[in-house]
Amino acid sequence: MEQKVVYLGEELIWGAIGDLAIATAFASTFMAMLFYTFSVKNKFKGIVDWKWMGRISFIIHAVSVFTIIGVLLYIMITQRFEYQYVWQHTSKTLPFKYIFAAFWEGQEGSFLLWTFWLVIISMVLMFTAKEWEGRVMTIFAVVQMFIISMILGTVIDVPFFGEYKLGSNPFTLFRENPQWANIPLLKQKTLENGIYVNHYLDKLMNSPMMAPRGLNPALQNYWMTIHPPTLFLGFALTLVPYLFAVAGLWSGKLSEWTRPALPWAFTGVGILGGGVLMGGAWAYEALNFGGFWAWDPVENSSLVPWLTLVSAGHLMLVPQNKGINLRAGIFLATISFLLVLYSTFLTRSGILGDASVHSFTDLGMTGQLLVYLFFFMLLPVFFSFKRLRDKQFFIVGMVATMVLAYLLGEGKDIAISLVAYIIVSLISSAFVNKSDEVYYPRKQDDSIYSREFWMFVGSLVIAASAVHLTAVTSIPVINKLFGSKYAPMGIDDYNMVQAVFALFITLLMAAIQYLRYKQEKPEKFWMNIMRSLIASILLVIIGLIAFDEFRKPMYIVIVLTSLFAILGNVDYIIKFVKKHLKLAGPSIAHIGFGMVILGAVISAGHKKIISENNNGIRLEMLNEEFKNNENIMLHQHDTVEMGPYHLTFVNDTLVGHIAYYQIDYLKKNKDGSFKREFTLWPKLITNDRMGNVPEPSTKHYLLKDVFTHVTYVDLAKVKRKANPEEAQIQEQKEKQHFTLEKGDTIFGTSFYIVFEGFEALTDINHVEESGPLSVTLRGSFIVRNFKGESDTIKPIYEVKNNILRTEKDFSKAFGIEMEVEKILDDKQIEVAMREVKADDDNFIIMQAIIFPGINILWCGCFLMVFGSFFAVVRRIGQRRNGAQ
Amino acid sequence: MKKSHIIILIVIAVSIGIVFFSLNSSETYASFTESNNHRNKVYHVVGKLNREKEIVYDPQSDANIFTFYLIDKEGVERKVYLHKAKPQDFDKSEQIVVIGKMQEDGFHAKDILTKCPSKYSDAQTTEVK
Repeated sequence: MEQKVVYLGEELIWGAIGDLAIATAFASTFMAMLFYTFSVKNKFKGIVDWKWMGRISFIIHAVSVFTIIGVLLYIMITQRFEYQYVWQHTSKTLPFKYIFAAFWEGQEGSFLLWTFWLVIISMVLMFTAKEWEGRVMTIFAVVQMFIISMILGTVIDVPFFGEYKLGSNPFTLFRENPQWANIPLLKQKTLENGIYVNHYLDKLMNSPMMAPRGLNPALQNYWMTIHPPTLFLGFALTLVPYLFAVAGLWSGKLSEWTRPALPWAFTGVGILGGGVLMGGAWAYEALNFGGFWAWDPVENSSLVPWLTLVSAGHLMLVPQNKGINLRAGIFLATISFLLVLYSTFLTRSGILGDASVHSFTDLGMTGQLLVYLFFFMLLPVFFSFKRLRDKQFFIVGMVATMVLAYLLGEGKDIAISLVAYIIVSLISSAFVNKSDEVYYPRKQDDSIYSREFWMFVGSLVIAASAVHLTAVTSIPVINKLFGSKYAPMGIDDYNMVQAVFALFITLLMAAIQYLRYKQEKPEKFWMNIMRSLIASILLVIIGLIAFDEFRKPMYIVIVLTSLFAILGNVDYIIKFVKKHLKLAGPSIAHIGFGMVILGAVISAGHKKIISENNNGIRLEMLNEEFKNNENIMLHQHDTVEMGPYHLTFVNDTLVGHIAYYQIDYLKKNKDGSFKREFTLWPKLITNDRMGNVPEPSTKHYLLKDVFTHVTYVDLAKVKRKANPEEAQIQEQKEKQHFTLEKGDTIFGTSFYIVFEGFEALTDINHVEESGPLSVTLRGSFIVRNFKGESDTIKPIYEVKNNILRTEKDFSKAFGIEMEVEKILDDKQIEVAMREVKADDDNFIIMQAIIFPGINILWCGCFLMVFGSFFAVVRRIGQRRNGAQ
Repeated sequence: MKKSHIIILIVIAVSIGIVFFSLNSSETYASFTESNNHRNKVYHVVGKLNREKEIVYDPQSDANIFTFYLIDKEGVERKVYLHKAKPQDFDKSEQIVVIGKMQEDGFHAKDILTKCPSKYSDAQTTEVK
């Protein structure tokens, strides 16, 4: 019989509180859903105030969610390593400032971060949604139910199918992890006072293999603290337009839902856009790909919902939306949220494995994520059916699909389940189309000079860009489906296609605002846009004259259209909004977006790799296609000319687990001397478990950035640096003894030494025979390597009053130490030679790049986010005034 | 037919066109044998490092050439010339993807992806740009 073992030192109370909070959160959101549904249905009216019951349930839910987060944060701060999540993401040495970063490093933590924002949004919505509250909050409660189920961690026993684990609980104990079931640390037990006890918790700290893992060093920076919360707030905000659109379908108020949803949509555009670009800034500052955007699947999957949200938001702006415009608006508003779910699915199911720089974990929630995705996809379709009988049929189909999705997902047949996904969406859209006539009011055809027509076109172009990104990002999925062997796309392939979309978008951004809703005045429109168009063309012509490298047609066209977008909007502010600056929000945001595109194009097009080495390329390797000389080797203390600078690798220092490489950028003065312009400290973050990650260092100027990145270093050197005593032993080779005559040569590993003879420092011709012997000789050894470099080593041999004294000499350049040990006779001498591998041998392989104009992009980011908020604030103000 | 319907059809047609164009112009995974049959095409070859054979990185003479031997999934071994600096964690890598073309003297790669195993944390992919 197995004895009960007591694990000493654990504090299980926190897990219990956490679990209780999770259960309460789940139950209360379920109740909220029920109460809010009752509040919508007239049938139940009058019994209780269901709306208030719903509100109270939701507030209980919010409190529970905050409790979960609080408890998890508490056990992370107090380092209760008996909890798996704490063990996995923090360590004894993790600085306190990274506690939040560690909190959302993991899957469960990132779900909690997402929930955190959702709960805050729900509190605001509850009291501002007014007549929409019942329906919106009902759906919101369902969303929360699904999300909390992701951290439930309950095992359900389903008949015939066996056990399923629902979600992954952040309060799981370390010793409950099946992975550790057989480690000796947990198996050991001693009998103390008649009870079996285990001391694993104390031993965990000092165990080399099982010490708490801590936050991945590559993520230990402030970006990890600010980027995820911003991005997740953006993700959370995409839910609100979805809620209102579905509530609109539910209530039949097909175009009214846009009004309350609009400020939310554009808050989402601002924050999600800011979050996505912040990811770009992180990549630019701290990752090693030498750019701010690499079209990585994870980047794409957060960019795509932003694109559709922008598209939806602009369609929602059109007053009295009708017909196809309206349908497209509803579709895009719902799809933005669904795409967030899809990207959650893509990045967490492990399917992208080989295609991304980000690491993915598969917590076995694929099936659950698919059910989640299918449910929220089918929900708007469900409400699109007007007749009850259709709905009942649909529910059966819906449940069947979701059961299928779950089973397929758990069985890892992700490809098949995605086919199912596509089929289901096609069938359901066909169904909705059938009931189309009754549902969507017909309308007149839009005029070609009306704003709504071109807004519609613009939205479609953005949507098309999103379609391309989704399709190409899903290449691993396509490969699984069709057995094809497409490799992930390269950056250039993305750039080429997306540039076309950017061209159209910037063009439309420049012109659309000069059009009016439901109006047709072509002459005036053309007159209005002329000024900015001519200005942009002139600027481009100046650019063509000034810069020789400014020649690629596509590049010139995009510079032109993005300039047009910027100037067109500036002009619009001057012409129309000057007196009502409150209305300038959209124009500012558009200027910002134009600048983002312009900055991106300029910095990518004019990027100059100054570390290019055109000397010493091996001729046989000279193959145009593979010509790559971007990396250069820099010896310590060497000065190498690179572009306008001379670079010196001064020193390297190891601080903790980070190796810093001091690189001085020098400017040559007229008299040939050097002046230090600035110093950069690119670094290598060393970590045996998670990999050694180099991090670039950048000098920022107003018009350009100088980017330096260590691509390769000798890791053995870094290790030696960490342990200098060991280095001494390793680096000194054995003394070697030779007997030489004048003119003899010693051959070493990469050098040879010639004995040139002696030089007398005292008068040896008049040595007194009788007295004590006193003579001083200086040997001369010339050391050369096979490159032709040479140095002279001059050890001293001295006899004074019959006492022998020898003085070693050392060649710094070659790391060779020579000593004359004995003079045997007139001809022969005995010498000792030792190779000392000096630290001078230190080198790095690095890259230096000049990025011009990157500040245009950052400035654009700021304007875009600022403009969006400005527009939202004004719109909320307008709504208030309108209500009064 | 309304203008907006025409626009929708055009945009859908163009999107489908672009997606197919992208996929068709996309590079594909292949074995060394296949890559040898189409020497002017760029392929992604997945394989394992042969640790028995020499791995040469001599930045003294050229910091942008790194050579090693790779065994692809079919068991064919080829010398790979990577026209880049040696990836920092190369020695630890378990699975390697090289992107390039087959030439007379071996496979010339312009890019490499290495996947390093990590003992207790999840597998991590690093892309070297």
